Amino acid sequence: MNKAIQVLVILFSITIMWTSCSKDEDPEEMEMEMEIQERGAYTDGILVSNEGPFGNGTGTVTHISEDLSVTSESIFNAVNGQDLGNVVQSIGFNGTDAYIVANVSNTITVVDRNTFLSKATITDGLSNPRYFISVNNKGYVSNWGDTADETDDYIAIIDLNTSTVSGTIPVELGPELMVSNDNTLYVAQQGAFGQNNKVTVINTATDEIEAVIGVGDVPNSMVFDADENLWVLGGGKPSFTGSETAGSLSKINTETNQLDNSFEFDVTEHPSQLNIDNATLYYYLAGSVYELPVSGDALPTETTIDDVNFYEMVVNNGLLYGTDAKDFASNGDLNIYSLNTKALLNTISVGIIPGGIYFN
Amino acid sequence: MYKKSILLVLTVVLCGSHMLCQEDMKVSVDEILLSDTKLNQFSTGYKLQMLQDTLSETDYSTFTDLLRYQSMIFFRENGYGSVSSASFRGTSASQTAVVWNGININSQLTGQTDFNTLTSGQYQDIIIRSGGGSTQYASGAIGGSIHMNDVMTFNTPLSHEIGIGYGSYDTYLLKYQTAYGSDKLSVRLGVNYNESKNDFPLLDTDRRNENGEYKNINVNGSIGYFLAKTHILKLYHNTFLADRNFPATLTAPSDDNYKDYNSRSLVEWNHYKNSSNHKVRFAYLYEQFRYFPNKARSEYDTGHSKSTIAAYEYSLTHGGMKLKGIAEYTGISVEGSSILTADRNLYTATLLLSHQLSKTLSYGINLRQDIVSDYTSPFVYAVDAQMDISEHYSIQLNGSKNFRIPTFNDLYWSGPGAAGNDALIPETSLQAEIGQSLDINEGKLSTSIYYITTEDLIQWTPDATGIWSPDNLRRSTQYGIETTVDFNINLNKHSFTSQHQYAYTHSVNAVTKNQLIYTPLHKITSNIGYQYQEWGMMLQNIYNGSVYTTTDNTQQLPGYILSSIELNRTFHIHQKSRFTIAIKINNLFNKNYQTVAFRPMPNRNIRLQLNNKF
Repeated sequence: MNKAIQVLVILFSITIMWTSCSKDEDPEEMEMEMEIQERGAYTDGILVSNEGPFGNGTGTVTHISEDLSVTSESIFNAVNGQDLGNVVQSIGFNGTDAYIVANVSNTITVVDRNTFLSKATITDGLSNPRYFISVNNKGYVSNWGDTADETDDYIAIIDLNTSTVSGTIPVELGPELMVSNDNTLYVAQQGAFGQNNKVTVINTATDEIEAVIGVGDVPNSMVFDADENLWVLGGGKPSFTGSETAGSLSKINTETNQLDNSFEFDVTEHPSQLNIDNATLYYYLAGSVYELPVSGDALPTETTIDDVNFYEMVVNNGLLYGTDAKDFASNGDLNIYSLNTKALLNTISVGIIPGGIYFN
Repeated sequence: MYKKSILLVLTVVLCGSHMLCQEDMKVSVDEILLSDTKLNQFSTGYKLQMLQDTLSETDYSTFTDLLRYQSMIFFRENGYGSVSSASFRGTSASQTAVVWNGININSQLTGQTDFNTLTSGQYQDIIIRSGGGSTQYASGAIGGSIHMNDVMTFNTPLSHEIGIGYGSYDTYLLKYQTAYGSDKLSVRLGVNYNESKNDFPLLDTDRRNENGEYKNINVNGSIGYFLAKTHILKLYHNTFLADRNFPATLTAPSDDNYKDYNSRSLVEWNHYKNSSNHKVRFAYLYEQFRYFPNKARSEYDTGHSKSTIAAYEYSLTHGGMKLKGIAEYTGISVEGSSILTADRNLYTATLLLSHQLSKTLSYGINLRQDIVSDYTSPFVYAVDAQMDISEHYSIQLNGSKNFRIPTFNDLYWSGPGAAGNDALIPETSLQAEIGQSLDINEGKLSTSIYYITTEDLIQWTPDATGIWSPDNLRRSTQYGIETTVDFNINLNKHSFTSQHQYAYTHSVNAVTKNQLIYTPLHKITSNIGYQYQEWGMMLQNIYNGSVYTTTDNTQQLPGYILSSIELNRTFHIHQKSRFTIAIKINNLFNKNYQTVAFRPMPNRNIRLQLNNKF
């Protein structure tokens, strides 16, 4: 009995010594620790949104650390213990908030982009939501509506303070990607399950449509150049429609909303994934990446990178990021290329059907 | 039992004309009673499992549930009551053939059968045939085939059967069957109606199954008529209509609806001679689906296929040899909203040989060649043998080459984001199997080991512009063991019957060596029945091993044990009438399980079943 008490006392004293010792930490160190906690485990680095299997599954988000050494899968599930919803189509941002769009579940989950703690969920007022963008302190979400009805597509206006849908702007068939310049919102009317060929211009001060610009068939991506011109890449109608049309690259003067210039591809060419970096445009066509300087006068005939299979492609700071969805039933890859040397620098395993690449 | 009395009747009828009073009755009685005699005569070296013996007459389960508990086949349902696909010996859903009275009824559009469009309650004969059967049952009989046969009965008084079932979640079942046989005529008619609200609670959540309502009706009829003593005319018909809503998943809402209409008709004329038999058959199959992406709106996607079959069969018996030659023509036409209008003509020649070399050794050889208008069909063959080592122990062997044709969807699909490929060739498969069975009074033990390799598997993948299209891309390999133990004890008035099965299925993509998705490595079934005088009890259990849900085997669904119990009591009202009342509890231990990821299955539920035979 005595021996036991002795042991207990020794253990007790050791514990006291241990805790008192740790109080002698460097105050500077402690402050840094707290800072890191505030900045979150997912600060910096790359976020990849994964659609997940259609119907029977959930989308996920993968985080890759800045130095590419640490990959964290399903970070929303890890932090919140919940699923994001079916087919995570994209992520939009407003400051430190990230808006994760679940297309089939008709929800948008709002999280802190650095900690990935869930803040709110928008569940009402969305119908086949696709992309989110924040302009003029409001959120805008492109919605296809009921896919059988070609007249009910709209842009939902999000009140960012209450995380609710505060209004809708009816638009043409198939609103998809959106970009903004100052307080003007540009919506690519890609066509949903059909095909369309417009860009809708919305004044976010009044939330009214300023103009509808005609562009080439199936506008799938848009970028601004340094002179505030809007470049729109059209894929053209695919062959299964029976009325195949050519891909196109259109340059729109945003002061006049008129077409300044346009390049036409071959009837069988259907490009996508338009990007801009350092006054050079990049796009993806038939397994290759092409580049074209903003000042260029003709489409390139030579390829920049060959033998790639990109589901999504983003160019950022001299590096080209492309995701490979493989067989759409298993984990995909994120491939990083140097635009200087055109060499493949890294391949990182991500989730099922990786459709969005974002930088934290 | 009825077979013996029919045999007696026939002997009287036929002997009366002095035509067939030979010492050995070479024409099999089965030829008259059954629609598909190939199973009895030309499948000696194959593992056949007869389901009727183990069925409870008050069992009103769906066909999927029936096969899930009684066979080694793995089923996945996209929600309970919704589309159900089979995986037989680790093969894909289109590599299991469903055969109705000898005719392959897999969909011409998808190449598979949705098992929730089949109602088992009307068929007198349900047999599971393991292993390849393309020589006899055409496309898709690679993993195995499931046979549903109507049986004609002559010289039986008019009988009726009425069944009613009522279960949890507003589930109603109605069954009516009537049969009559004179010495010349056999008539049978049956109707099944099923409906359910299917809004069971999703375990471990506070939600219920949404948009899962379904209802279906199935009508079966058959008429057999002896035109003369050696000529018989047989007619079979089946119509099935279903209206089902596609249930939501844990993450995806749904307001989809799906309507099916299937109709099958078969006319057969048999002419029996001394040691030969002529058979002429005509069949017409019609299938149609309507898919409503939003059940509140009128827009729908539709497709239908019409098949016309004409066949002539000639069978010859000589000594211990049976020879059957079949010449068949099939014309199929398909139309739909997302498919090009297409026609197909098939000409088939089949030769079947079964030879009883001695009392203990028999073998068979099957050969078949199809000539098809829109793809090149391979020459297929099968060899089988059975050796009776002793009175109780026998060994079976078989090997075959089988195929699965490119379906109309594979060749001619034309819809948003996807296109068919008309240059596809059939998937071809080679397999070998060795089985043994030990049969003693109290029970039976049988084991089979098999190996299957399939090439040119059709797989849909997207191209650079995101359009999905099929190609002959994959190779797969399956091997496994199946063991069955049947055990029966009879003590005074108590009787126990039990059947236990275990299947080990190694099924991989031949290149990546990853286990194919939704094919479990292990499956165990255990069915125990107990009867004491008027009381009966049935306990059914299955263990389904875990399945992978991604092709790189990084995600899986956990395995589960599922049990159900039934208690029944039979009353004999008077000489002819028998009334049974039964209570069945499904998912006895309230297990939260999924057969398809993110689709929870029903929790514990109860069903009351009444059945009256008179």
